[in-house]
Parts: sequence; C-alpha cells; structure tokens
Amino acid sequence: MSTDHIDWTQAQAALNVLYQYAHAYDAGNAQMMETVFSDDAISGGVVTNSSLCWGPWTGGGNISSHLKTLRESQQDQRRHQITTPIFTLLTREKAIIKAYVSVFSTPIGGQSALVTTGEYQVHFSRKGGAWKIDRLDGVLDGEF
Amino acid sequence: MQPHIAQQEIKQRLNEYCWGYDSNDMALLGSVFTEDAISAVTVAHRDLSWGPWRGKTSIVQALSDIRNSQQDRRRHAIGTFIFDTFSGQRATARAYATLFSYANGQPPHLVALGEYSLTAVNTNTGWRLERLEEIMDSPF
Repeated sequence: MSTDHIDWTQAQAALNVLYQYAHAYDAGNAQMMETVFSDDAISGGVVTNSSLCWGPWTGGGNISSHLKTLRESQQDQRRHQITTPIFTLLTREKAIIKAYVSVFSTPIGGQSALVTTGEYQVHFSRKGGAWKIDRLDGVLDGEF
Repeated sequence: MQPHIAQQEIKQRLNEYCWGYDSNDMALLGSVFTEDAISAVTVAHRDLSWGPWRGKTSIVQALSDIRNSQQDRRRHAIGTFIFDTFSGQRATARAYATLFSYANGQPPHLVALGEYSLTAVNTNTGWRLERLEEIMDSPF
C-alpha cells in the first residue's frame, strides 16, 4: 500500500474519534456519541449472510439517537474493542480508516463472552480543528 | 521524524500484514516487507512451526499457500503494541494478536492468542518489516 498520501501526524487524533465512538456506544452516552459525528454524517451496517442491519441513518444527532435506542435494547455490558486499524487515506483534513471490531458482552452477574467480530470503514474530516466522522459503515461477521 | 510518528507507520505495517493475510490480499501482505525480510510462525511449547522463510517472495508464497488451505475467514486482531528499541532508522517492537475465525456455519469464535515480534527499518519507501516472527500460544 502506498503511503505517499499519509500524514502520520494526524493518525492518533483520527483514531481517537473512532475509539470515542466505541466508548460512547458501550456507555450508552448519546452526548459523547453526537460529538464524534459531523452534522451531515451517515452511518449504518450489515451482518454478513443475514438480513440483519442497522441504518443507514443521516445526521449526527439522528445517528446518536438511533444508536442510543439500540444500546438501550441491550441489557448487558458491551465492549467494542477496536483493533488492527489501517489508514487508506490520511491528510491534514481527510482520513479513511479500516479497523477490526471485536464485540464482547457481559450479562449482569454473568461471564463475558464474544458476541461477534467484524470491521468498520470510517471516513473522517477535520472541521474547526476537530476530527469528525462523516461516514461509518460496519460489517459484522455474526448477529449481535 | 518524531518517534511517535514513525511508530504509527510501523504499526500500520503490521496491521496491513494482518489485513493482507485475512483478506487474502497477498500484494498488500508483501508490501510490508523488505526484499530480504525473514519471517516465521511457531506455536509455543509445541513442536509446531512454519518457516523461517527468507525473502519477500518466499514469505508471500508460503503464507499464500497456508491461507488458501484455510476454508474459514480469519481476523488477526492486533493490540497492546510496545516498542523495545527505536533509533529513527531501525526499531524493534512487539504486539499481541488475538485470532478469530468465522464462516463455514460457525459463528465468530476465538481460535488462539499469541504475539508478534518484529524489526522494522526506515527505507527510501518508508518503514518496512525486515523481520516478523509470530509466536502463537496454541495451535491455530
């Protein structure tokens, strides 16, 4: 993969926004979730070999609201562990990341277990000095 | 180059290696290595190992053969990266690997844990892996 178009100075800042998305979802923190998306963001996802999907939803507030509803339907503790990120584009203003996600669940008083694995493709832009997600697409390997 | 900037690029090389293997994109996998790289896979406390393979072409061919023998989909999840040495031209680092599998009617599940140990060098085309060793904790 050519890295001519990669400005590594911005890598961690963009990654942090994706990590914030995971923390916000797991904590059911809609306020934090809204801050990671741009106003006109779009987000959704599919489950491989399944009709199960979410979204696509448009608008940071709308995405945040739908994700909060989805999270509230889950009674367990979720952990979206983001790993193995690669940048396919990273400039001072734009970034595209592909990353793996491993979703774990712990029922109240129960044992932790893997729910599913999958991957995200995320498009970012830097607006007013802050990185925001413009598009987040998820592909999960199993139902969640 | 600031160490943390170079280290981002080195992390990307290992992550590209994993994406390359998992998605059977051997061009991407090969792109992370120097021409004279060396690589091997071992299973700890077992008489099980693959390689060492010497040279990018040999590494890609061997890993392509292994990948094509696996009918499931794999995800090598990489995290907990640490740099042991860093000079600006050369670095050694380690990272944990968590190997998941899915497909063939099986839901996603854990296959094995392990770690990577690598040496990266700063070439005129950016950081590349000169050595990559994978030590798994159990068969995969």
